[in-house]
Amino acid sequence: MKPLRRLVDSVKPHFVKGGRFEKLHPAFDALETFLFVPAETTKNDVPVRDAIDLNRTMVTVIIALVPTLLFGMWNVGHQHYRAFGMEVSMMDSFMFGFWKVLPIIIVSYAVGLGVEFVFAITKGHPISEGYLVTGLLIPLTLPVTIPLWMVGLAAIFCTLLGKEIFGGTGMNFMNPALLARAFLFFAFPAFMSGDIWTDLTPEAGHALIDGYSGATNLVTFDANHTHLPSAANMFWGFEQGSIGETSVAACLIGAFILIATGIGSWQIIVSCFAGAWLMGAFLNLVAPADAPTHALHTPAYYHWLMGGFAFGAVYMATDPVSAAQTETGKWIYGLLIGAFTVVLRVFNPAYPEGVMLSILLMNVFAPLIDHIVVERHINRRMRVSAKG
Amino acid sequence: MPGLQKLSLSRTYFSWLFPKRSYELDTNMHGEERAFVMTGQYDKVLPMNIYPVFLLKAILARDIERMEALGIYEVSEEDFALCEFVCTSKIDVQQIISEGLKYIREEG
Repeated sequence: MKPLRRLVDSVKPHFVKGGRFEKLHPAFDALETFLFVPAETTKNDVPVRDAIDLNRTMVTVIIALVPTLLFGMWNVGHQHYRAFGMEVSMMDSFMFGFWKVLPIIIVSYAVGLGVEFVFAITKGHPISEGYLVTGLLIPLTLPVTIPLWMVGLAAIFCTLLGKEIFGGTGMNFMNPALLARAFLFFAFPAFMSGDIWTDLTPEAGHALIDGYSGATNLVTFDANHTHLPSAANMFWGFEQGSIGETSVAACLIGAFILIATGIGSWQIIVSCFAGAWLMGAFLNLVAPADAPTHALHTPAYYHWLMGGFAFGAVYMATDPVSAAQTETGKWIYGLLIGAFTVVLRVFNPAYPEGVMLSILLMNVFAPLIDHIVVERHINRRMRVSAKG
Repeated sequence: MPGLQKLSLSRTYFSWLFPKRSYELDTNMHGEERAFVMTGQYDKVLPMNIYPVFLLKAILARDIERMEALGIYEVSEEDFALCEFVCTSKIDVQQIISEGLKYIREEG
């Protein structure tokens, strides 16, 4: 680390006030604080501060995302070779996916951080670490066949309209990464739904297998839920879908990391799952008895396994900025996300991935939920003080 | 393993697995100031029945009625010392509270 520290110190004078690149100070500062803990000391009455900062927080979330990323890369290759009926080693599948996914991640980070840097420099505020997570979440929620320029466009959209116009990380009221996905979903529907989930780059000497179908589980269950693959298949994630969301197992490893470190709210994750199960079980009760293949009959816990529900509940709904902030509010927020996801999936075939829209919807409602909780709290206080 | 000497109430450093280890204490800020991001951190270290972040935001907005409703008369700045210690965003919580109390004394 020493040579790096010396290098940073040697160029530092150019970036402080009066230096040649004074205007670029926020960019330099972001790099320096990312690499090293700043040397600033406490000035107030609390002389010792907790070792955690936002940088550490965001890096922890990225670590929690690694299982989904690695599995997603492997699954991209797995689905590709499966479509051509080829048997290849695990490493070959992974490397195929790695080279397909890497450019999407690079574009997402480069473009999004670029926008952040420009804003930080023009407005002269420090760069927040929020995009470190957003930049990885965006690729994981997209199909692998997405054109790279769309990834860039989505990154610009979510940084500008999702975050910066409200004042940057901490001020946004919707999850920026999900906003990026929703933007692409509505702006370029042909690239976000249909037979786009598997990379079908031709393989010399091989043709697509007979009976290949590009339909995801969410489309299948809507037509006839008994045609769904086995629960174990859906749990481990050997299915088509966005890059990072197919494996519930990988998401649960991530959930474990988030909960163990205390970064993600376990209340939100648990209540999301509970909400989906309760709504699924309720719909089973009201399902028409004469149509056993109807989507209403889907076993409630299948909603945990299909599509991106687990991914959304673990990584998207728990975003502390756009979620409800009060303890009670978090339970309500999570339950409603779970319930709305199932309602959207079952009743609206046009939007099979209900989890994206229901999280965004509840992001909008989160301040209202908090408002109700806090007002009730105030009323209780008033009653107590009136008595006293 | 890195981070074994770090003192943190969060569990993001491995030191929480070894509660008997000695910590390396210094007066470093361990980070730069940011907007409020993490939630529920202050509530864990504040004994009163008060929503700390909402109170702090009412003070920042100079909204006297809201400060009173959220219980500013029940606190003094030292009550928030632990909040300031745990804050991920390195916000000067005590200073905000003391500004709020001063403001309410002048205007109220």
